[in-house]
Amino acid sequence: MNINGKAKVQNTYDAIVIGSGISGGWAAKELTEKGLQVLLLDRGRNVEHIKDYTTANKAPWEFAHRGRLTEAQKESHPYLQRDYPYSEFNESFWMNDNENPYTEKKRFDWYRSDVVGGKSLMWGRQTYRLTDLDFEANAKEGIAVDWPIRYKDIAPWYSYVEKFVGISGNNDGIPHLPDGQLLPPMEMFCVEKEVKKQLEAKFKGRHLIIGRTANLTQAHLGRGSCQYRDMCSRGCPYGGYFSTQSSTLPAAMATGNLTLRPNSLVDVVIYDEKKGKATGVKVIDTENNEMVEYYAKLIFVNGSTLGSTFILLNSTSSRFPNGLGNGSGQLGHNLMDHHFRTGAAGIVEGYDDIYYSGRRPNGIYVPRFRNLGNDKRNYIRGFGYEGSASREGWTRGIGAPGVGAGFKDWLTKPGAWKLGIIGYGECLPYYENQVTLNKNLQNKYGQPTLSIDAEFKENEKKMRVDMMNDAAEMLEVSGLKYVTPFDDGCYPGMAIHEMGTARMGHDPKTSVLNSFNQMHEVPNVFVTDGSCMTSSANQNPSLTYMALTARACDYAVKELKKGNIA
Amino acid sequence: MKITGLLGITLSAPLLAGLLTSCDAQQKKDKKANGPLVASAKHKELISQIAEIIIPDTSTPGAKAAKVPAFILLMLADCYTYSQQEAFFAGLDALDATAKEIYGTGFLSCSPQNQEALVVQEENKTLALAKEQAKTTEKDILPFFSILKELTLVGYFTSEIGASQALKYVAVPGEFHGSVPLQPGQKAWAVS
Repeated sequence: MNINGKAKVQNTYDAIVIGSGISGGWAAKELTEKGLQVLLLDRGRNVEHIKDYTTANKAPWEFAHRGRLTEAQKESHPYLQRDYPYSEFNESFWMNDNENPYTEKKRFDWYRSDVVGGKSLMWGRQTYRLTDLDFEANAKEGIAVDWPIRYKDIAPWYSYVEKFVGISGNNDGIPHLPDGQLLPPMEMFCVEKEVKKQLEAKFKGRHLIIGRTANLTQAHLGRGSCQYRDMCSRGCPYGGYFSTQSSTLPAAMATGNLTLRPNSLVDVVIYDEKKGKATGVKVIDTENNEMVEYYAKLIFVNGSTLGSTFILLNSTSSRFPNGLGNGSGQLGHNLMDHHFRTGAAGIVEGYDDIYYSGRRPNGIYVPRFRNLGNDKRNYIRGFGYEGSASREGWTRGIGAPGVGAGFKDWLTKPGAWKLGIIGYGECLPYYENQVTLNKNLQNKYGQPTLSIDAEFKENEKKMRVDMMNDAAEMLEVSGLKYVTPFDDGCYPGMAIHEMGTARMGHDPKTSVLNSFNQMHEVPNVFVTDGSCMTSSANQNPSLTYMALTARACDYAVKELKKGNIA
Repeated sequence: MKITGLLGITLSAPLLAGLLTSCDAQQKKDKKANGPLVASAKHKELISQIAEIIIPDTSTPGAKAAKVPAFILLMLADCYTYSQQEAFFAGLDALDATAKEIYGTGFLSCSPQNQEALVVQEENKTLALAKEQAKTTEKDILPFFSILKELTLVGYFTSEIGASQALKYVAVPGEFHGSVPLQPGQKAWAVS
């Protein structure tokens, strides 16, 4: 493609942001607010806030299959159909797996969206800070490479993004789960309050707190308060939770500096060997399959961990034959995800005369307590628990014996109070857990695809024993009855917290990005999604991606103004 | 998704979707992809009658009024493999044959008492079988009664009639309170 002068000017921006999910939305907001003309690209179709949330106000009976997938949907979505996130309630937000295949050298459940806003529309919204317990762990234990930042570097940026995101929660004063800029917390269920009291009295140093969630408990920056419908993943017509659409995109649009281009699948980042910099991107227009080029001084790669890694691996040149900025050979390696699906649940007796009202889109949280202080286990790192109380409803009839009037009457009354917790464990960065380009398998657009080869190893397996047994012990000691431990098994990808394949580090020889998420070897390219993570910690990671993005934008624009990167 | 079903956790998972997917997640893909079977008039009658026995008309309308039979047929056609559908209709036929054996007439001509006795017997048989199978390997094909009962409950309690008459449905709660006195006779929430 030969672009003449005029077209080149028309297709030139100050900055290009690849991907409009939770971190790309932040990059677009920060860069436009700093005065840059920004082109925001997303491979997916446009989803406009409120207008395109087509299922958001539907009652259960307005779904023909009441949420369940059809055989045809299972056929077209062989990976996504493995677990609950892809359902009739929000099926149009997800990617067609068959048009975008990948190869599983080992099982990897890859949850991909295909809309503007990305997974920020469907995310779980739990938001916790990392601390130096996390940032120092690799260096102290000699694992992988050291994080090039410490808590003090990111703390102000956590505060900065929290103020805008709107996170409800309690400042609990726990050293390794720092307080933040939080909106009023949601309430606990009666039985959660009781279990909190028992657990904290009987296990010194352990805490049971209300979840910190990016749902608004009061109106915030023009967005409405959560209405307790618990249908977040369909898109919220009240703007009650943080997403690109509800929050960062309107802010970026308001500057007048943003151009959003949906249906734009980035093929490669263009690298100019003479300048030693990236000059733009090649984009496949998914509506007509035409290749278009766009140019900019600054490029932010925010295409999701594996999406971004694919683009970088696919961007080869004689300077970078193995992928852009991949002199270290680390690009695509060190893939991590949290491991979960193990914990315990039980019955709470004595609260039959207490009920609740509203559907809380949030749970309880038990922050990490293992390998803290003097506690030493036969594994390193730790885990936290997410959980919730609930009171059984009609669904207890499935699998229970009974038919007729008495059975029906029983199911119209509330059942037992339950409470359960599920561990979310840290996964170590293993070099051999990796993704590679597969040129033998192409997607619908003729691009190569990813081959994924990752597994949980001994440290995770040992940790899972504690994750299950500690849960059961805490619930039993806290007075629950019929406590059932469980481990339903876990494969990488399932937690949808994939990260680490373009890690940050001090040394260009062993890492892809520097302490500001800038490519060591390509100074005008920044990567600020989950691929930048040097370790996974055990906390839900999105807040960290947002804080790192805002911090990187601040640095990038300063460098741009100093003339250091353009 | 067993986790969500077990705990009733709604952190990021709609409970309903979880419950519904859990039942067929174990089912292997049907390689034949023959499409839906067509239910006979008699099959439709049997489904309708058994659904109403499970959830009858009481002080609130029953399964038939809530259009549960049509829902079951739609679900069978769209959401189950061909071989699962075959097994389902074969199960219905077997129940009809059992009725003839015991009462000398087909299920639909049996008295209401005998119909209910047949359904209870079928459920006991299914539960015993499930216990037996739980000890062995994962099963590909579910017994017809466990599907019929599940779809009856799902179809009824997520219908407009079931959710807003037998249960209490609030589209926009607006607030959350974690501790509220349970009123005498208070109905359970349709969506937990």
